[in-house]
Amino acid sequence: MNFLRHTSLMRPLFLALLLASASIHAELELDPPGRPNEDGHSINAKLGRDDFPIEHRFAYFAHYSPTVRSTAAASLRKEGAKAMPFLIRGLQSRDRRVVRTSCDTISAVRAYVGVKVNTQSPITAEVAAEAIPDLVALLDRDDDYIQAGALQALSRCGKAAAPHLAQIAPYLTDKEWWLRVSAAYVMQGVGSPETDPYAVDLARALLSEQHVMCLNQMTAALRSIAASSTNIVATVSIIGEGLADMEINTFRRQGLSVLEGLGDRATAARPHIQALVDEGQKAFKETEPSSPMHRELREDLKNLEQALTTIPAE
Amino acid sequence: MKERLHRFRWSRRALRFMFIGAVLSCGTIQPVDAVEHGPIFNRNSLSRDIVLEGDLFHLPTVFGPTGLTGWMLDGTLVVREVAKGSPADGHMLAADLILGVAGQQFQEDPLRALGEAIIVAERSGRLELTILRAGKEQSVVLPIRKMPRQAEEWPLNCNKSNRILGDAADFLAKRQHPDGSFDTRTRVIYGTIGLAWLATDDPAYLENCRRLIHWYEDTEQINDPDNANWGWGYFGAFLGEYYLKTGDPSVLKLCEAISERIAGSQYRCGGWGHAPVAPGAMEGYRYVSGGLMNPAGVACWLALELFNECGIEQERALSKARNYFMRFVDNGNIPYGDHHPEFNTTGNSKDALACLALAVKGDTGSAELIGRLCTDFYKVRHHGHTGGFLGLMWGNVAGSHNPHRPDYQRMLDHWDPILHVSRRWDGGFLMPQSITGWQYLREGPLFNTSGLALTYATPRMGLLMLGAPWSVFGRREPPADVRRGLKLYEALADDELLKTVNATTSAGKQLHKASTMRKLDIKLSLEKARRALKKGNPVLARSIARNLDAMCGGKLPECHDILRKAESRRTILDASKEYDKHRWLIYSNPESRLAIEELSRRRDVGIYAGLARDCLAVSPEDSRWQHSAALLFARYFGRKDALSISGTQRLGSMKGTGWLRTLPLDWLRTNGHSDDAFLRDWTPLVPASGAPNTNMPAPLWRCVVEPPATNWMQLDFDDRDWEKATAPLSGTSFQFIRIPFEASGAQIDSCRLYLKNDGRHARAAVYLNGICVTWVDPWRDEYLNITLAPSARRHLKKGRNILGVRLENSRKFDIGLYSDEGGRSGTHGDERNSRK
Repeated sequence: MNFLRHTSLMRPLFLALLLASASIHAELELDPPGRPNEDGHSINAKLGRDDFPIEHRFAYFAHYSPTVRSTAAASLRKEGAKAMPFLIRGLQSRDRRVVRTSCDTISAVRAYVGVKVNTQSPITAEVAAEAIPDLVALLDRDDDYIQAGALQALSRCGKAAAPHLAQIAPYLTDKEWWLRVSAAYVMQGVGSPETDPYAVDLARALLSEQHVMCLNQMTAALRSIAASSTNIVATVSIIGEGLADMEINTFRRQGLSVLEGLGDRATAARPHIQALVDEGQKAFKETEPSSPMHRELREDLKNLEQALTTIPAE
Repeated sequence: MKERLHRFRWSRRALRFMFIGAVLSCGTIQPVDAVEHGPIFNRNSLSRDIVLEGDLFHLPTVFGPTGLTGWMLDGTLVVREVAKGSPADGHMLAADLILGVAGQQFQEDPLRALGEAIIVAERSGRLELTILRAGKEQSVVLPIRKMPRQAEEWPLNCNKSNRILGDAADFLAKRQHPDGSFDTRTRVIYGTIGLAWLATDDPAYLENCRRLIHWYEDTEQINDPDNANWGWGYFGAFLGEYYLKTGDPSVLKLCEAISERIAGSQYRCGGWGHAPVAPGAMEGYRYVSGGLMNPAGVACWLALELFNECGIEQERALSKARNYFMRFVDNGNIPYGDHHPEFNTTGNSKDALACLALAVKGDTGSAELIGRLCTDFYKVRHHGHTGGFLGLMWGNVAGSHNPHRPDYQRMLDHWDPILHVSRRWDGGFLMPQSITGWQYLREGPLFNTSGLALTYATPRMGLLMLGAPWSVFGRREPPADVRRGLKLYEALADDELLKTVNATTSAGKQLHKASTMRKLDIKLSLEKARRALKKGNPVLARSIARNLDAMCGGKLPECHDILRKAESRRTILDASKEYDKHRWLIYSNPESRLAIEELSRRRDVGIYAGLARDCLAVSPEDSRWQHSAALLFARYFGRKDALSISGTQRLGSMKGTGWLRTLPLDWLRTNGHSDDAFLRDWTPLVPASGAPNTNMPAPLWRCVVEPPATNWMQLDFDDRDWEKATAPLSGTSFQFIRIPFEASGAQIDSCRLYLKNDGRHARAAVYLNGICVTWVDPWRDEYLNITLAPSARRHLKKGRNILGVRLENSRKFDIGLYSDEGGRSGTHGDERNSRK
């Protein structure tokens, strides 16, 4: 590595990088989305062409338009393992657009209203695993959007991301929900038994969650982990006790859903649920039948009673 | 078991998605028959009073500044109305077909072609149209208004753009009522109208702005629950800009009230929904319904940024809004709710308004970046979920922040022909429904005019959101001489201000400009008020004087004089109340009609006699008079007293023009809003199979799929080799159907069609003895009843007639022809009418 410190070597290298970067930017400046390019096609059409070289498509990761970046990501994703050298270069880039687009290419997560994951992506867990060191390094960046992208990409790496769970778990309670939900993706992606020690963290995060998308994702993650986990006593206890503090309906329903997924292994939570039923019935009788709260309570009682029928008594 | 059930549910869901996917993919395929069989519309066989039904026909399309409005049928422009006094008056007639322009026949996109021709023709003032009238093709030259040549870099350095902007601002001013109100209930439109006036940077419209603001305040529009956050956001943005331009202290109270409402209705994440969260309800968890609605929220953020500039602080709410919206900058497009950044190509105004909010905040870099995004994918900006007009208008405005001018110009040039074809001869704008969808047009041209005027106003930088300099009336501390100048401004000592304040600094220059504008504003307003008094319009004079007095802190004695004189015209003031009370009800409430007729005859009611006469002169079918909901009501469900026109308008505003779709026929019948009771008493010449309470045998139609000879709809056509079938018929099976029927002379005088045309992309053209009398576009599974106009009935004759229908993509089609005259002797086909 000493030769890199040699200024006479570094200077031309730096200049070459500068020129390459300038040429990329010059091309991008000439080719914004609205303007037809030299072939009379829009950028997105160009990016969709197989004969358009990968390195050129990769250059569009730095484009100012998120739509073009997204199309470029999809374009590289379909190349599978062939795209990985570019993506790893992208993850190491100083340009945050390039970094995040590289993450998105790996994660195959597409945001629209909710989140859709392209499960057929040619960048499989085995292929993506190559990027893990770079993705973990990105977690140190002071940029929520980059960190969220890195976590989403890690969720694509499956079990290979397991050694880094200790570093990932704290994001379950981050103040930015983009990070919380992304951490839950990773948990689900790694799965049991590696995530068993973190099921308690996930359960606590679920109980305090305020964002409905996180709530759904955490529930999904917890259900999948708990289903195959052998040690769920603490998790059941935390959720059972926490149900009382969860907002009724939208939120409490998710907690109940985790317990219902465990069936007879969640028996310990029954007394908590039964207590809530008793309390709810009392409140239900006391509320004005035409009030919104009456409706909410009725719905909540239905959920609680449903859980009691699903979770058998000891 | 539960797992199996779950799997079963999933497999059902998967099947449902597959089915929906299949249906959607079918929908995107060009209808096969359209390719094989040619257009279903036959130019040479059109009744002069063709009745058009369906989504596309709720509001007629504007055919540029010609005075013509009409529809587009299979690539042909059909004239519906010719405005009196317009360039087309005396040259064109209703039911003329426009086949081409400037000697060229229309190709793929007639509206764009017409728009392009108008751009050229406005330089000479001669627009040459090729038309088809009564089967004969001819050329007509319309003397349209001559306009200066459009600059390459329009609207920059462009006299034509300036004139278009002036026309639009005048159009809005003319439609403002003396008290300051407009014929609309959508508060968003009040905001865009005010912004359009302010953006002209012309002091002539400051009085209109003030009148709108004080009417809003006096009538407590702030408390209206309909789409509250939208209204507060848009009106708040206008109010903030008005204060920053004028320093008018009389609006500060309203600014504060709106800023408090906005702050109070914010969700904990920092965004907003359609309206504040109901007490006791949970906030913001769901998408759209009861949850976040960022297109409304980002307008609230913009208003808060402007209020902040005014010195009205909502620190916590503004900080939350900034945190919430700004985290999307450079990460993606703003989604509808608190989601991940999106990567789509349409904005539905979210990104564009965020760009403007950032410009007000002073974050130029971010504003420029989003400005660039607004000019990208400009051809599809109006697509997407409810994108339509909001995305288009704000995209055009925010695009001006794109530092790369050619991209912005490319976007404007793309829309230029459509803007030209949408521009009415009276200066207003109404875009084609095929572009923006009907929901943005249902309140008439006010919204389109104000929104598009902003496109032409961008180079003037008359608003802070468009790059105007920081206001001296705002929160920023100005230099000492300007501070002194502000005191002089407050004391109305404009002459002294202009002498003492240094006009070479940015702040001084601004204060000079504000002072000069106000002087002119006061002069023009007083002139207008005096003119109004003279013309017999004391309501206007009173509004102007009151508002001016409030702005000047009671320091203008002329205002008091005008107020005194206006208040003394008691008879006219009372007449104005009568007029406002009854004018919407003349077609539904006989008392209201009498009251308006009475007003029209009186000589002591000033302008209200003329207004009443104008009101009576416009028929209920005229698209000028009514909002589309009322138009639909009058057309489809009769003029029932049970639900007045104004009531229908209310319904129309609440539900959108699609309210008919949301109300099932049974509901309309039960509530007395459907007038299909005639089916019980009228004589079916051809009975509809789905008509209630009829014991008629189903008539046998002759049907064929393959295109027959062109005279298939004529009586003498030989259909013996066609198949026989009973209704309801499917257009995928039969493309051409016909049935003969007999009618007596008396029966011809009153005829109604009763029909249903169900199916995505379904269309039908109905012919009577070879003449197309009705065109039906997709409709829900409901029956329409259509009264045929006298000119359409003229094609019927005593004895044997033929009813023919050309179908396309109809899933279910049923039709009947009914008459209420001449007893019950009508027959259809070979079967006698057995109904007694």
